[in-house]
Amino acid sequence: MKTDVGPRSQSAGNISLAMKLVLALTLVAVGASVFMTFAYAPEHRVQGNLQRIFYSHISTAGICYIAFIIVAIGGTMYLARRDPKWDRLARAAALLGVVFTTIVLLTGCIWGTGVWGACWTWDPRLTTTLVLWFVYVGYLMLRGYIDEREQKRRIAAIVGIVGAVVVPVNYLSVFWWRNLHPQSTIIVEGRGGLAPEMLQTLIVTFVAFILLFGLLLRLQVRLERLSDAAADLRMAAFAKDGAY
Amino acid sequence: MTSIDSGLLLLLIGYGIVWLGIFGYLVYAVTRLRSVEKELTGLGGGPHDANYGTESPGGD
Repeated sequence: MKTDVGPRSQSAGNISLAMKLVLALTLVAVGASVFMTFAYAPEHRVQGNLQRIFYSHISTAGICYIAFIIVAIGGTMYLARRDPKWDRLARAAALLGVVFTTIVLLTGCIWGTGVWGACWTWDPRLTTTLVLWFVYVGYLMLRGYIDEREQKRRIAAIVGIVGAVVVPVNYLSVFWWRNLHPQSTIIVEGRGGLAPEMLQTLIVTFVAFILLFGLLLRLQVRLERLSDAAADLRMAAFAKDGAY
Repeated sequence: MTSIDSGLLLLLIGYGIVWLGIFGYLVYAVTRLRSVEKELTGLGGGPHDANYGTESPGGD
């Protein structure tokens, strides 16, 4: 029986020109983001230098949303087409989503320590972010508990789709329940909105993180693909040796 | 330590967490990739083969 892991498009040592360009663009964007964060964006009048964490915090939060939407899309496509590549995409996005959500929670804690005087409060935005983290950690753990591959993919797809409901709840939580966490100040016109240099820094940082996320997602999808292939070969070897 | 100093210190810790998280993941992924590629080669499939064997119940 043939495996569901298809042929590779390129080898590890043979990076395409397009990939090299994306890699170079990512490095430039990350470098620009670091420079703008520390040297270009003005210091906040009230929060001082600590406010500069905002650019990474907001950008990684945006990446979390993108990652968990990809998990839901991957799950939906898997249920519709039963093609394992969608499941691998969902699995890869979930892992990266957890990494970025952890970063968001920790940078939020750092910011809260300096500005609120507390690392954590049960603010609706913070609480729903923690819920989001638990949902996707649970998603990854669940996959480890189910042995049968088709069943695992099906159940994971459903959890990924249902779990994505927390994403809009998390985003809208600051509007639904007013509390400590600031509302969006990016698109507010007039007083209270971001200074142009701050907005430019935020945009560059967000672009840098999107590019970085794209590269990491590609790497993780490849890892998932090879892991599936190794599992297939392992099982075939066991079957051949009469272990099964 | 002044409040500006502590703000800068917290910023550097926060920024360190961001990049530690990303590079930590990157180290994990590359290490795991190398290990899986080595395993594939050992199993006779090789990471660059089109066909890897049979469908199995595991996978993650």
